[in-house]
Amino acid sequence: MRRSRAAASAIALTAVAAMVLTGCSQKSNQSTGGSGQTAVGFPETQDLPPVAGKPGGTFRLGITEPTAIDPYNAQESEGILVNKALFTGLVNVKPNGDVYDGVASKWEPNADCTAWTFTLKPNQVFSNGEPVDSAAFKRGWERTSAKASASDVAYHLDEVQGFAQMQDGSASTLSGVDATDPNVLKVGLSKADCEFELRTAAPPLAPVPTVAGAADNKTYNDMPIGNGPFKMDGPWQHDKGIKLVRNDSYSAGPKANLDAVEITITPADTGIQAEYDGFNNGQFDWARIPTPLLTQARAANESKNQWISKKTAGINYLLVSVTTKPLNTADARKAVSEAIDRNAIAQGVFQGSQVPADAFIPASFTNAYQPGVCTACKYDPEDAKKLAASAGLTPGTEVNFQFNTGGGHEEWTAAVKQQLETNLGLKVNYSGVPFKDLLVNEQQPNATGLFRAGWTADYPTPGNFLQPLLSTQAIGAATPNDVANGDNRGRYSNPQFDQLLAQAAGTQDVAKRNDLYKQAEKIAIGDDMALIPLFARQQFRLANTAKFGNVNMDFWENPTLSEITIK
Amino acid sequence: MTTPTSAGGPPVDAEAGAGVLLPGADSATSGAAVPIGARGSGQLADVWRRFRRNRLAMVGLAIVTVLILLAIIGPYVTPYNAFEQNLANTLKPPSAEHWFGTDVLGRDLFSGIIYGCRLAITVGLLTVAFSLLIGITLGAVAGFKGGAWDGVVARFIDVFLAFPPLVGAIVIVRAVGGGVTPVIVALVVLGWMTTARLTRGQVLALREAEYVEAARSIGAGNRRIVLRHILPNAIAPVLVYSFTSIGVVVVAMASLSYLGIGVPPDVPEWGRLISQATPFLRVPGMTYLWLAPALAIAITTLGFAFVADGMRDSLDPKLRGGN
Repeated sequence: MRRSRAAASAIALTAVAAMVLTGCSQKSNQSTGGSGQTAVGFPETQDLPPVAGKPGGTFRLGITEPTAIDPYNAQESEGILVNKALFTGLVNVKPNGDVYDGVASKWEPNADCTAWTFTLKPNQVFSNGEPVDSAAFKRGWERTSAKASASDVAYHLDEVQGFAQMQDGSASTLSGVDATDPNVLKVGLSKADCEFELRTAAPPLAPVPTVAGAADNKTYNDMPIGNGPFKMDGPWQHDKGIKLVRNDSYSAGPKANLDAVEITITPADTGIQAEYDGFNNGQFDWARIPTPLLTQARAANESKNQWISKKTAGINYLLVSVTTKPLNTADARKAVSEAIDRNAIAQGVFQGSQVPADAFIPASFTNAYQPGVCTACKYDPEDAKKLAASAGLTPGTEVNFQFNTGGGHEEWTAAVKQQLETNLGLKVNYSGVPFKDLLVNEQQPNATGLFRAGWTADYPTPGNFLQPLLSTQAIGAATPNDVANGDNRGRYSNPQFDQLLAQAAGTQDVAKRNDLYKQAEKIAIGDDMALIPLFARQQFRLANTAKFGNVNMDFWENPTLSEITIK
Repeated sequence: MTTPTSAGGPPVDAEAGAGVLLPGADSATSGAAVPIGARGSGQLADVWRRFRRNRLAMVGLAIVTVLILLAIIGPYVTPYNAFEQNLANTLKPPSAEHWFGTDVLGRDLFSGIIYGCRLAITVGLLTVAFSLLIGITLGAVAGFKGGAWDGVVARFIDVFLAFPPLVGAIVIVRAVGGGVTPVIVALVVLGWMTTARLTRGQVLALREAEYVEAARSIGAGNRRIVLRHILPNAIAPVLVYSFTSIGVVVVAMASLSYLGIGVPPDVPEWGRLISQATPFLRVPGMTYLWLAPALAIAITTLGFAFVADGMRDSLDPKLRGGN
């Protein structure tokens, strides 16, 4: 009895003593502080020298359950991985975004880019022997755009004449697509687009055979018959796996080398860890890596040339409501941007796995990337204060800042919040909401402040970053009091910018077009700071290069299955 | 000493579960004539004597004392500001500078844990206090009045018990908005029912007791009977339960913040600290990230549970005169 009381007193006393001894004044937590101004991030790796292909081998990898592998609704990276193995569209895209021939041997627009003519390679067949002719493309495009299909990705076809009628159910054929000549596909567009050919690499624009039937054909949904370098080896085993084997009748390009691709479906919430574990224990030949383990994974694999690190066509940024106070002036937005220490966050929170952005168009577009075009992307708290003062962004001003929970954004957003509070004295109303709510909140006419956002390209063009996110047309609201239904939810609108984009869309010369994109980016980001670029997208993979050659990351961040060969 | 509620006394209402009855002899016989303080002293001393003999209970008491102390003075004596980030010094293992290491934002984890203690204790105590207020009031009314009152309260209890607590809390916090107050509101709304049931059972049993009859015979009103005679004797098992439930509340709040609901994610709340550490579960040498907050939750829950256990044992008439 006595002892227990003694013990209790002792514990209490020790605790109090400890608290007193640790000092009644708080130490500064900045002792080793200051922000690292050195270059951060993991360097990009070079592709290994190509290896001569030879048939054989099974390439194994893990993905999470895709929404769909059928072209009409294949959408996320995983679905696209399977779909691109099964189907080849009119054109193909190289890992760096360059376009090369797919089923089409030649493509050209008319003078004002409102009509396109694709000449198809002769004697192309699906793996069931049906011909891949212009009608097969028309069939596929109509299947995607039909109202009854309710495709999530029909918008890829929105420039094609007759698309609106397909979507509202008033037409059953795409009036703009002419397939009278089996070897020539003619496409009429409702607006000028000199880079329409890029869109035809997207899965929803793949050809389909007659056996595909309507979009609700379950048999075809789970076991699509395509014209790609691989074909299904039995139907998709949901939540278990997908098996592909080489399509020996493939003739749109070089045949695949691999005998088979074995895809294991991993749990949605632990998928990346499962891939990484699978790679380490020899189950997989390709894997993503959980962010906290990147340093370790790199150390173990880089010297073995099994580490792939690439900047890809994507960016993380802050969406800004530019029509509502307090961030309705360029200076206010620049103040916010300059108050954010991207380097410190990239280094401290992301452990070097993300790279501070200095432009909005990603560096992977080597011909359009303008390093430093975002002049306010540099960390300059002193200048930020001046800009804030001139913009009326006085200390104590309330700024909303929303992000979505469950996406791993809690920490870096907390860092941004504290930097805005410390450097500008703002009162940041910081809140995490479910992703769906975030998307709804940023659409509202009275939305204000900052929202976390990320964007990856559908097509390999800088226009895919500028047009949907910053053009007036992409606001999708008839009046300022309407909900913004487009992707330009910050409601940025600048006639000069719109004019440059329209000009770019009508310019056939790629170099001239890129130049117009650069000018447009300079206006929207450099001058107007319509969005606040934060981190460039960079991806990391582990690849079994000991056993396989030509293993690289494609434009959709998947392995280049059609080129991989056993060594 | 004979007690009205000792063996052979009225059984506890079945719904109340394994309630513990306070030996009410002293208070019953002395009635309202003796001031409460004087009335309880001998009995309390008795209870305290038995409590002290229980080693685990004393450990629990020590823990609870330290936690409450920390909650009060903690933020003034932590080595660092628990919110202050240092992105140049993130994910550093424990050292002389940072006893528990630093987190992914470079914040001092030791300071964070102590700040979290204040949050946990505040939310725990407030939640339980409000649950007691609601639960005892409704339970007493239901138990004493009976009939329609009892029916209505019982149905209310059933309705609220039908909500899965965590899911219910998520819905409420989402609806009300983030922050500490909504969390307390949610946990109270979903936490008063057991208190009400326990009180109702006790009051039901005690309202027929001889000393209540005696009080009534000398003209005491309902309010006086309930407040001065029944509740003081009915409250012990309710308090015991409440003490255990403080631990439950602490875990519930941690679960909510782990799920990203409730306090803002930049607050060093224990559940939030664990959630923030989960990506590093597999990274060698980063165990400290989740170990400290996990232990803090475990120790808090155990502390209150030990004390509750000790209270139950020392209040249990069956043990009376035992040791």
